[in-house]
Amino acid sequence: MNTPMSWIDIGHIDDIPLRGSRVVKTRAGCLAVFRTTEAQVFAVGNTCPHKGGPLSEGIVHGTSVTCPLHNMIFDLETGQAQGMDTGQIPTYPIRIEAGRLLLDAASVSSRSAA
Amino acid sequence: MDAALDLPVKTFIEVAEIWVPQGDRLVLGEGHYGTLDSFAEASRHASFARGEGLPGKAWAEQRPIVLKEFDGSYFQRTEAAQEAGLTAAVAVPIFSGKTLKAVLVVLCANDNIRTGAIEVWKENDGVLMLDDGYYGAAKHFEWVSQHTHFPRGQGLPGGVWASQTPMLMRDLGSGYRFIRADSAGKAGLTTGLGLPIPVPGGATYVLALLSALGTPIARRFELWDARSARVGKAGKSAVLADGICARDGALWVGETEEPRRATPWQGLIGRVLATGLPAVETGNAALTQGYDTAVALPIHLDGEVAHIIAWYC
Repeated sequence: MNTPMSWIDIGHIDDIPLRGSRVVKTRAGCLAVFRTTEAQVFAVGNTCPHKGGPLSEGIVHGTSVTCPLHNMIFDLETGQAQGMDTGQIPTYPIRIEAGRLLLDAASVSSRSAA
Repeated sequence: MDAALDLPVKTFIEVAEIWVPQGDRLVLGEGHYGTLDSFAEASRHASFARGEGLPGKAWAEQRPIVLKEFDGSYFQRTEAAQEAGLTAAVAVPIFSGKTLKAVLVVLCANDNIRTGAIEVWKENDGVLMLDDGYYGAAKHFEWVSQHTHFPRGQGLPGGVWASQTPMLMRDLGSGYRFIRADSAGKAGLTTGLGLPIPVPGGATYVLALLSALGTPIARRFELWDARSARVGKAGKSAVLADGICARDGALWVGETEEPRRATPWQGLIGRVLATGLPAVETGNAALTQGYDTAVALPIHLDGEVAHIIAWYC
């Protein structure tokens, strides 16, 4: 039986500028919530696995983000690194309902080892 | 390791050679000349006093030097270079404090096809400005670079300046930290390696190697950290801090994993660690990670080999 998902309201979509981001602190660690288009958002881990760069300060292009430290690029849909590098950032379910950003509570409830 | 299966490509750097002090002259330590046998022969018989030829000039002036025109210059192997199709060279002196350890010279062939960049940035009035650079066919990128300067911490050169550590920048065309992204992307430049070049007297120099996929400077880059503050004072060693490879992908590991470590005389990096001298290796797949050639360069800071950078092609 599937457990019904519970969602946390973390704000309004207009709180994030287009191709911008906001950081959300959770028990799972800091998340970066990116707004890629008028009505598309992604929630991913904020820390680059390469050298710990803050991805929320990176450049958003299409549905990817470039790390500000060494230009590693991550697909925001899958979390996978692009190009010659390997590595992955965690992704978290997020949806928009009546303009509100709803983050999956279960996925961010466990404490991060970091 | 198996030999690399990549298709043969024209490389941006044709020749890499190491000149080492012997008495009051620089003599050839080792070099990679590919098929340029007559230029190799001319080099084997050459030696340079301080201030003589390109290696001697880099020694005397204590700075990296870019030379884009051999004819009528102080370059001494002009005839052999022209016969080999070589048209430009960059000399990089390796100092430990005030002592010259070696001079690395790389030579390139300009056929208006090869794209890449070897740049020397120098601090002037609180910003890094382009001292000189060789760009091959990347003419627009050259113009952009000539009209760009970097405050401390900004861009690849500014980042190297601020951190005093080598830095490997990916996807140069994707923007942000690499300030010249738009032009770099159009020129096909993909990967940038920046490294500090310490010289006596305190002047700040940063060398940047920018590689393109079509005519690469390297297809594998490695950045090794040998600072005793990082690897410990008991027993000299170096850890692989960062790197990427066209065949092996990422060469770095996460913070919780143990990085690759080299000890003195262990492989190419171990040799550089032990001797403090740069190395050029060719024809030995075990030492060149399956590529044709490898160049490894030490960076001496505070009286120790602090970093070793290596590129393979």
